[in-house]
Amino acid sequence: MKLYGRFSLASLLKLILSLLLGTGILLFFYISYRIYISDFIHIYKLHSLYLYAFFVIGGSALGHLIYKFIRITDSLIANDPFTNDNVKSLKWISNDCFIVSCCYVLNFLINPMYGKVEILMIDGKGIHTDVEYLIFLFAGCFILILSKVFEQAVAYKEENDLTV
Amino acid sequence: MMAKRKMSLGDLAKEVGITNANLSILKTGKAKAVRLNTLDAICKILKCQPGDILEYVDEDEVK
Repeated sequence: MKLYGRFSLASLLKLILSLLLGTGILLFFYISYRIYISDFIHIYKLHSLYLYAFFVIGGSALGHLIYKFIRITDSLIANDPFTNDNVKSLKWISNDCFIVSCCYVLNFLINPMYGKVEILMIDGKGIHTDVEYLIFLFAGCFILILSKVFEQAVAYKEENDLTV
Repeated sequence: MMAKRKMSLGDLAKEVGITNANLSILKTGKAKAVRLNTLDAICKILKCQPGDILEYVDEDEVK
């Protein structure tokens, strides 16, 4: 299977990411509506406001992250991945990962969940972990480094293109 | 030098073996580097020295 270009793995990835983004947006509004009509806000007031703020900020960052990935897959389909646009997209993705990670950490801190944190747990329902924030943190760091590598690659490509 | 030899951009590009677009990049000074074999081919076809077709411009002074 072709990795990039038309009808390749990149095209399939774009389709999956687009579906994911669409579903995510629908879920976001559905959950917001469910929260609005439930008693949750009236009972917990300020606490629920914090939680909803994390949900909105984290959810938006995640949606933006997927949108930027779609933009990158577009350039992969067009067979032109080494562009300044992709460098900017990777930097945005890295920032989005840090925002999502922060939302996870703040959620842990505001909700008294320290005692319940399970780094790795195996039970009848499967394997569980509470280290999502670490995954996003490492992904953010790695993508930030990758954006610098891409920036260098774009500079080399430009130099090569302008060497006659 | 091209006018002296009565040669068009297209003819020179064809003779040197590069595209019109690349020769245009070279002519307008947008190129970042010139391969020695490109320079050699241009000098050979135009029967000139590199100094006849290259000019040093201090970019700081231009700004």
